[in-house]
Amino acid sequence: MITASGLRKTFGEVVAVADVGFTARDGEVTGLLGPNGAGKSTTMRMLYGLMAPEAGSIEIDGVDVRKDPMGAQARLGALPDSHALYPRLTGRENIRYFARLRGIDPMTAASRTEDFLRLLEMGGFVDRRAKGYSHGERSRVLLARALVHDPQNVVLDEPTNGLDVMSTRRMRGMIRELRERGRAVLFSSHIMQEVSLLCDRIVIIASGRVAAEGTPDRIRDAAGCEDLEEAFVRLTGEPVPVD
Amino acid sequence: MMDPALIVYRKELLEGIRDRRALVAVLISISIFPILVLVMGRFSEEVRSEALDLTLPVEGAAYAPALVAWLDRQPGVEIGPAPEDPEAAVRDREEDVVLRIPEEYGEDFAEGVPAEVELVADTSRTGASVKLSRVRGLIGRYSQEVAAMRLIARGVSPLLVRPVAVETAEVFSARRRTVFQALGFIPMFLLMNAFFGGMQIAADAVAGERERGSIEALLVNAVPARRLVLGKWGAAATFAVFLSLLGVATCVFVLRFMPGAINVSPEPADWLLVVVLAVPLALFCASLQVVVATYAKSYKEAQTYFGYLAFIPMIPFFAVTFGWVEQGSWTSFIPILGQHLMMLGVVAGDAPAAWELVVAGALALVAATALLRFASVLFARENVVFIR
Repeated sequence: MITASGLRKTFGEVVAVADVGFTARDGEVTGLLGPNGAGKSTTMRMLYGLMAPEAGSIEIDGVDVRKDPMGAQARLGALPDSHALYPRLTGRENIRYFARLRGIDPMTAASRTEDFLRLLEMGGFVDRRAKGYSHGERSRVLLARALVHDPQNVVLDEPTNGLDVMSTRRMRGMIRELRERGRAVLFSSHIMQEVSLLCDRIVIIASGRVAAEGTPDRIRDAAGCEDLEEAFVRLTGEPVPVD
Repeated sequence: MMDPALIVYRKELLEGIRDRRALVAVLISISIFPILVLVMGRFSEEVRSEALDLTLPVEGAAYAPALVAWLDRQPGVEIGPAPEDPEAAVRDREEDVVLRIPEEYGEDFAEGVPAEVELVADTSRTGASVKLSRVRGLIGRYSQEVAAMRLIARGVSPLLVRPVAVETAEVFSARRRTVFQALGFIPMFLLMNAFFGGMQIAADAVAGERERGSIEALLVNAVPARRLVLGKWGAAATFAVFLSLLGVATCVFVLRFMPGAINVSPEPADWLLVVVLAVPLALFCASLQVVVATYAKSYKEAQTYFGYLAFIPMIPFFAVTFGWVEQGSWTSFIPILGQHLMMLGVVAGDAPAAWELVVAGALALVAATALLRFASVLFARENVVFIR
């Protein structure tokens, strides 16, 4: 379970995150929804302990990220928004590298990698150097790398960004499976449709603040409209396009 | 559980070996010394042999037949005809030295007045000044011989007119002279190897990690930044040490199989001392590069900074040449400078004491550790991780 409250982060004059708080529960998929520049990535970076919030607190399974960043990270699997692999390592070596850093022994690491090979259909390219990977191939290796230590909490920063239909479906399948296994999944997106398909709870962020939080139904109620997309547009305060 | 630093180390080493740019660096840096020695050996040999085999053009040879005949008898000296205009010939580099004997020579010589001769030469040219001093020495010897004969003819011992005899006691042995001329390049060469060795890895594993953005995912693995930096440094240091050792091997090989170039070379035990000096040096260089690479936002930027760092190996070279540092003084414990100086001492047959080696090595390691700690603090900073 991930609990964030009262988060604030500024870069000079710019207030990236003004006041963000939410809870991502075990066995649920929580969507962090907001337009570009709303503060989603900054919030994510504070979650995995790479940015220190100026105010507020984050706990992962009750472990305070600021007081015990290593302890919190140990309970977390993260897919940051920079989708970079090591170009001179193969996909398999990329996965194994992170598995070993996470303290998993070589045998277990190998068998976990095999599981992901089947699950994400990576057999065709996993032993090639990552340098020549397509976007879809890279994203599958990145996902496997982020989940190889089987974390209780999973944070994915715009995981389907730029993926084709098949890759997006694979990603959704993976997220649903994590939920079934009782994991707390938090992912960010700026695509309403995706969030409404997958999420048990939605947190809408606009201009560094939580504009609305709750189940898709509650969000619809709060915005006073039937369509979730319409609700998103109203809650984030963006101008409604006139047809 | 395996130390994460070791896991990072093995991964960076693997990536480094697969990096073609690292291979190119290896090839370039180990070929510097052989090329340098070949060029230098050829050059100094040319100067020496030219000076030995001396063809001396003489103007007015007819005015001093005895002097010319004496000169002609000296080994390696051949008397040649004088050019039309000696000054112009020397200026145009057609001749190095021309001896001019004036008409009054014979008259002055007979009267016992100093008979003047002139040497036309351009002293700004290395080859010419070697010849000039040789000719000057020869004529000086001729003059002394004649003086001695004159004194004996008058019943005076020639020794009487030499109340003080000056002999130069050469402390600088022949071995040391050769070494200083040619082997003086070995420390700079090894320093360059230590520098070039870890460069690619430091740039790729630290600055490249930032540039690609892979640093973000790396830092969420619940591994403290200092273990990550230690592993990356280890890989860079391994390459630097490897290249340094390869550099020493190259020196041994070159000196052994190019006897025409340099005929004096250090003993095997001396090479061992060079290795003892080179290893901490390589470790220090790798630390320096890791710190610099942490500041760089991209591989290219790191390369640019390393370009400036490459001037560092030049500093000790000039510091030693101009006498700013001396073996045995505190300056010989400054990392890089000290190693350079002591290596020079070792190859020149003037090895530093064991305690000096230990202190210099320990100081280099302490400095390397301090730099590494600094890099670790930088590495996980927000503006390092996210500003690309």
